[in-house]
Amino acid sequence: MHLLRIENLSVSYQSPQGELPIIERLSLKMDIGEILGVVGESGSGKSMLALAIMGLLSPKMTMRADYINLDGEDLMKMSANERAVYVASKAAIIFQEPQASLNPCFSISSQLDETLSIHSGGSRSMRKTRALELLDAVGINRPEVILRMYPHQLSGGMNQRIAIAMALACKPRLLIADEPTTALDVTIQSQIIELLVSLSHSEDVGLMLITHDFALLSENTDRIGVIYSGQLMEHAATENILNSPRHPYTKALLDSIPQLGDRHIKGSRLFALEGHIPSIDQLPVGCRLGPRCPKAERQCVNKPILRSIENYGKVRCHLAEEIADQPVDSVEDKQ
Amino acid sequence: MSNQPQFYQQSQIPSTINRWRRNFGQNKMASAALLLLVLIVLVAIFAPWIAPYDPATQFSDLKVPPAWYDNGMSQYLLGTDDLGRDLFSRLVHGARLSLKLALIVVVLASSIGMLLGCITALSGLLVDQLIMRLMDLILALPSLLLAIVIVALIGPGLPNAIYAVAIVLIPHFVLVTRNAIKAELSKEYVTAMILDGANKTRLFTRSILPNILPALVVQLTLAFSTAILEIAALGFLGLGAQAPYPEWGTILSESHAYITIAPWTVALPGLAIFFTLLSINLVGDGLRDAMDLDE
Amino acid sequence: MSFLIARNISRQYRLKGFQLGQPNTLEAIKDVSFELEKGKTLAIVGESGSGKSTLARQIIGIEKPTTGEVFFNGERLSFNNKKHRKLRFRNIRMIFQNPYESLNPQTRIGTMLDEVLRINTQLSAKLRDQKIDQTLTRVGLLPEHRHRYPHMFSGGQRQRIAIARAIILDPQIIIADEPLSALDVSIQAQILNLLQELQEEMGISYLFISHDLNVVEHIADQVMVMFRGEVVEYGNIAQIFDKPKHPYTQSLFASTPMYRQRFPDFIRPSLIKKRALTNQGCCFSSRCPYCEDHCKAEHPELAEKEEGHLIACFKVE
Repeated sequence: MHLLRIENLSVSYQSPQGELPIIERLSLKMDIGEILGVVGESGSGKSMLALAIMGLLSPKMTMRADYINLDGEDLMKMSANERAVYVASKAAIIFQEPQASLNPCFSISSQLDETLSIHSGGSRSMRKTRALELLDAVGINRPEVILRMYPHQLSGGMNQRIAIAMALACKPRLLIADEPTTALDVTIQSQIIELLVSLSHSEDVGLMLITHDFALLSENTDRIGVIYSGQLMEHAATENILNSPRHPYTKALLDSIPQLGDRHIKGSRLFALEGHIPSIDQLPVGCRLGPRCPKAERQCVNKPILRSIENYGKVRCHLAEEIADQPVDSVEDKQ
Repeated sequence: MSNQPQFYQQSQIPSTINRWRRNFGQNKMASAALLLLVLIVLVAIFAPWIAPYDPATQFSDLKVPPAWYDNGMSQYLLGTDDLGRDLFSRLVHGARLSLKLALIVVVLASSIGMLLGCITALSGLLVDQLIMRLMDLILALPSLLLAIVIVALIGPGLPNAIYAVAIVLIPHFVLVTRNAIKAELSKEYVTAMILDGANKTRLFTRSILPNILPALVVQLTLAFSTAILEIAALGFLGLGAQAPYPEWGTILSESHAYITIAPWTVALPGLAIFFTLLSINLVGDGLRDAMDLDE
Repeated sequence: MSFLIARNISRQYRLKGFQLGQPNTLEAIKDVSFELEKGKTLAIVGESGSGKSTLARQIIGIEKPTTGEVFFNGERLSFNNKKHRKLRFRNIRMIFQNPYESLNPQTRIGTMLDEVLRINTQLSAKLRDQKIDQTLTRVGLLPEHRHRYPHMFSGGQRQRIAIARAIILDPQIIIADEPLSALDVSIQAQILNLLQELQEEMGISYLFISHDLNVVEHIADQVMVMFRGEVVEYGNIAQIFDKPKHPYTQSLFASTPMYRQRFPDFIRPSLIKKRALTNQGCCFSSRCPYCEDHCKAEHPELAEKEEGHLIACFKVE
């Protein structure tokens, strides 16, 4: 049984120039308890995907989909109110800035209490016990002390843990983490990611980890989805993607990261994709990566579709089969 | 950059500082308000030529309703008041007076305010605190109340009303200038400019001035509107422009007793104030929106 | 040949306000020394609060160090001396972290570059134009771009403009304060390549501040690791990346997924319970897995354990 099934999700923005596509026909599946990594650079639409699932899009956006199936129920078939209630009980989201989830005017305990009273109810003392349990589950050392404090008195890492605790308070089946560690120091980053992964395993919660940092995903995820310019370019098991990526964009992303042991050799260069992400109002005809793709051919003027490759996963590229045979570029002289 | 065959065009449209003008033009409400405002200003400038009569001349036709009423007279477009003065001429000259007074007030308040703002932004802690607490004091009191108190202290009349309203407006300029300068100085590109070797003058003209201009312009516009309202309020209370000055507030103070008998003498000056303030505020809002939309 | 030398740089800030029992000075950096050779890159690694940006400000001359000295080409640089200031601004240039904040939104980039030249050189208008065109092309932009405002460029392009501003005076040293952190992964690679090319062509030395270990491994010759304002480890790239000795350096590697395979024995920070912060003793005592009692009382000095490799820790012999 799938936890999440999205088919042909499109999100567009109403602008004076017309409807601009933010996400185009994105289809995705997640199993129960799976950890999915969603990788994309800024402007790829990955954050919009999270907001679309949670129903947090701004009124200026229109959302269309064949279906969005969350834990058995189709969100597209519900009214706005029904959807809000259902999603709130089944899914939770953590943002990049913990300040976005935490209100500076209220103490930690009152915020946790508020969440708990909406979602699980119970008497005040039951809620207090549960709050302490949650803070303990996210690795906070002296929860009774922390409960009485305010967000601005705590560090970014602490606040993010509290945000995670609040997210778990509603006992979600799906936890979406949108760049949860980008604003944190490197040592805290790994701690938070480990926390999310261990919670996902222990509470059997599906985790969608959205990030631009491939390295974070390599150890932790079951599958990875790569998004570029509002489209899903590749979706496969983590080892497959890391060892033999089929899409040129994924390959380029992996190649741009300096390899281990890749030291200051004179004349060596990283592989870098030229150009930049197309702006929404000037999208290329055909494949969105076309103008920048080192492998682009004549046929790339036609839009590629997301198709399944045997023993691998799904790729949106005309040349998926050929690319598979080439090794991952490392230190290449590119000028 | 790339020697790949270019399948696709990616065009860029450069624009200039006139994008502010363009942004403003796209705001229909603000553009309409601007037209209205320009109209009012033109009326004010050309008042002596537009007004058919002298605003103080008293005719024997007392309390005549506006020309479109049954018993109105065509030579008095908007009717006459209880002393037989042509209301149209009075309002038109009133526009001239109100705008002139507001201009004096704003120039006074803004120059003192901006100077103080510069001083406090660039000075040490003590001077900064002193000036800011003084400003807090002025801001803590309701502006009209404070203006009344000041006029009560120094005596009624036009010059004193101007000083009073100016004093009340100064803190706004001080705050805007100080905050804008402080925000600017903490920007990273200012540090970069200092590292490029820019001296203080260059820093001011290239960086501080262009970036505080939007906030100042908006503040000036809104101060203008406040000035008109406060002068009118003081005039209404008999503390500002005295009779027979055709200041809109003063007109109201003379005619409000006749609201049931000659309602046009109250409604028309009121509408004049209303539309002037509305247009100024809409233009101010439009400017604020236009200059914030950079990207 | 070391030509930028910093000795015992310390910087204290006076805190506003008054709290009983708390010191009213903040020691942002304490006793930092390093040497930078021509054409090489010294990477400064540390998390937020480590003092790396403060150090950059002292070196470049925005602030005066409380104690310590900076030498450039053998000459001691004074903070107040006008001639030295000019020398500094011309020869030591800076690239900032945030490409969205480091360019004046009201100035066209051509004008900005022209001003830099006008203030610092005697070139005629024609020569300035040529230099601007040359520099823009060198960083991968087009000469036509000089008429544009910063907001018409993407983040990566803006960082190229920032690099143009830095190299246009043909400096000898560039301080790059986290130049890649605000950029997307694929753009990071472009900018990193550009920086390497420029170093090879123009012989620029870099003081490269970064928290990204594999970028540092790729570009650095020497590495200085800072924690809470102090240097905890200093060495060349092989020493730091093959045999890091200080527990903090090791924890950095342990926190980065890519390096866990190389250093499987390093202890991950998540498993350490944090202790109270102290001002005495070792700066890392609150988080060190090997902390002992004397570490909290005495302060370990930075000592040379092998040639060129300095570590401040009692554990390392």
